[in-house]
Amino acid sequence: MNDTGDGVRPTGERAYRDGTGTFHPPQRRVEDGRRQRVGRTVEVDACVIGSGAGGAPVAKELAEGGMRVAVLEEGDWWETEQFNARPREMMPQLYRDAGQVVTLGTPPIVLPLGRAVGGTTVVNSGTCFRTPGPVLELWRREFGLEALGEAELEPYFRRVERILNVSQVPPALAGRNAEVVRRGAERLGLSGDYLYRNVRGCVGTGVCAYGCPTGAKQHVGITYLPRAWAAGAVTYASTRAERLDMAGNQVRGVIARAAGGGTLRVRCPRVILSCGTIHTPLFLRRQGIGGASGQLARNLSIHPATGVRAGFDERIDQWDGVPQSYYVDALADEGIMLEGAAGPPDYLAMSTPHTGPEHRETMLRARTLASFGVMVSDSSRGRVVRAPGRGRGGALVRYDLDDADTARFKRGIELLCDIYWAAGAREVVLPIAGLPTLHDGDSGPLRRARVRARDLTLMAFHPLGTARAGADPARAVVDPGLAVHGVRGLYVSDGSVVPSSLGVNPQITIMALATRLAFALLGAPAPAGEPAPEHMARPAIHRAHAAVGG
Amino acid sequence: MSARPSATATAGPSARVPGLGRREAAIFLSFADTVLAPRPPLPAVADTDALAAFARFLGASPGPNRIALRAGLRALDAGPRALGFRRGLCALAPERRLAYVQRLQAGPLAGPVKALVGLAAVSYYGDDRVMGLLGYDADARLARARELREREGRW
Repeated sequence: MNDTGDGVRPTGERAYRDGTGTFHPPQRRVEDGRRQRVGRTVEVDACVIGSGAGGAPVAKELAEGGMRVAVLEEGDWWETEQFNARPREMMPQLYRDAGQVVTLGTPPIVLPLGRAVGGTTVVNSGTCFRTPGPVLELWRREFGLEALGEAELEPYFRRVERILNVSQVPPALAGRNAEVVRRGAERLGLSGDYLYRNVRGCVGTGVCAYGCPTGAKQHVGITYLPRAWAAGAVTYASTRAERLDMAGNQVRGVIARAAGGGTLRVRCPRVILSCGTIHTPLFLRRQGIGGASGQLARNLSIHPATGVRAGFDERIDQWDGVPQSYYVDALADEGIMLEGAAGPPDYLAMSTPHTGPEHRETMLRARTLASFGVMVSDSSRGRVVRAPGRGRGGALVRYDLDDADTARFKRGIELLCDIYWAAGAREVVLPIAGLPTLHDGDSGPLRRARVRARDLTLMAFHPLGTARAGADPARAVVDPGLAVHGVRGLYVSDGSVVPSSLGVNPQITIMALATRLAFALLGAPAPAGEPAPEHMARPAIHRAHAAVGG
Repeated sequence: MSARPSATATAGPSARVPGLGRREAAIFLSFADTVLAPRPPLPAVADTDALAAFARFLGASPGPNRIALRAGLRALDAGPRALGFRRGLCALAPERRLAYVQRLQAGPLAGPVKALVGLAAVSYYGDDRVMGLLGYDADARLARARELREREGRW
């Protein structure tokens, strides 16, 4: 595959399907914390806490730039061959708290977070969008993030997309679940397209969210971290950062606890916190750092989402093909995106909103069920607090869905019903308590209903904003360079710095910001010569709709 | 490094499951049978590895969740008496059990009951035989994945 020769990077079917070209480092530099029972000290130039979308790119770029880098990761390292295509078995092992993180509020919202080397990128759907331009403009206007324009971020986006081989799902791999939605959307004249994803050699195994067993999904554990190892970085897996070592307002290192019981002391002049949007603010709070603005652990947006099922008279087998392969952006300017949400039977059963014989009958029709998601760019805001009795790692997430977001859900679900009917569905199962299954093209019961937040069954996959970036220390936790205001040598690189809801899946935004941070720490100019992608997703977002909080 | 997920095993109502007492196991099976209502061609809950899977979920849960889930099971069993059903969940006839659970789902305990229904559903429908009946073959996917990894030098 020609990545750089003519300055254009292919993003079509061949790039998507070609499974060759995996990067293998000469040495896997992963140290297993389960085996560390005694204390030890290492000295590096930078310590990255967390190995997900925010941490791994920083580690790779810093290591390749000549720094000695240590990456601390609370989760385990997983070989691809350990992924067994069984959601029920993988969920307790790859997800934090066995996938049982749930927000407190109305309604309770399941918030799955990855916990492994590679972070949530190991278990996400692999969907890739750049930060929408209007959102960047909102950040400039509201938070003084002048240097984060589309043009300024372009080289970083290109670099991330090249390393992850971001390319477009070909129709043949999109699955029949996407096909029926595409068919319905086209009949209604609604805008949509096949998604772009970070894959190399995808065959549509259908279990992206439970560890890709083909090694096709290019999560950061098999892309960025191996390149970091090749440049000398070491990942300390099963090792939890406990606290910072500070001298006044200057970072001197990190004290961590390995799962085997030993203490790991990392001496370094700079620390990059990448614990994720839920845990980074709690880590900072434990150190008594980052709270001056009053915004730490607040301003949480999560992109709440729900799934809507539809029964067809044709075979769907939603577990065949890419689970999230198509999107409809007809309402994107209102903060509503429709994206695929398919999965194997156990995943389907878990969220089937029925009980007793009705549950059984729904599951017996599983092969003819389609499942698609409604994702809302939320104006609601939540916060994170430490969970009493849960030690250092416990978090409580408080979040109430506001009326505007509730209305967005109703509108999005109505549109998805229209799409299903247009595609030939004979019934639609709603994720709304008190409403019956819809039949025969009649969305009347839904349209007439007064839907309340507490009636909705929701999940959320994109927590953002709890240590938001901004030029004004009175309104932001980190500065535009992602340094914690008022602290020397401490940076944040994860979803927590993203100051508003995005309206699109955030991994590319987080990785581009992480890459930019690394180049800044190296004192290097933006990367030159990165190939332009042949094509890239252009969702129809023409204005930022998200609230920005206090 | 992390161990491969342990092999699943069928656990009948009298089986001992690590992390779950006999009484709790019986309540889970009764509850799962009520909310999932499997009938042929689907096997009975007790004839699958759902109970062992549920116990693994409990084992991987954070302490407060684990305590709440176990207490929730006990409360499910005791609850019918408080609501005038005169017997515990396990001793009720199937249609009475369903009526009881649906009453809970309509009240202030709807959230916790929904969580337990979800766990019961994923525990049961994740059984290889049940997934196979619905058309999903995990092993076939793994075989293809292994072949691709070996042929193309993937991770």
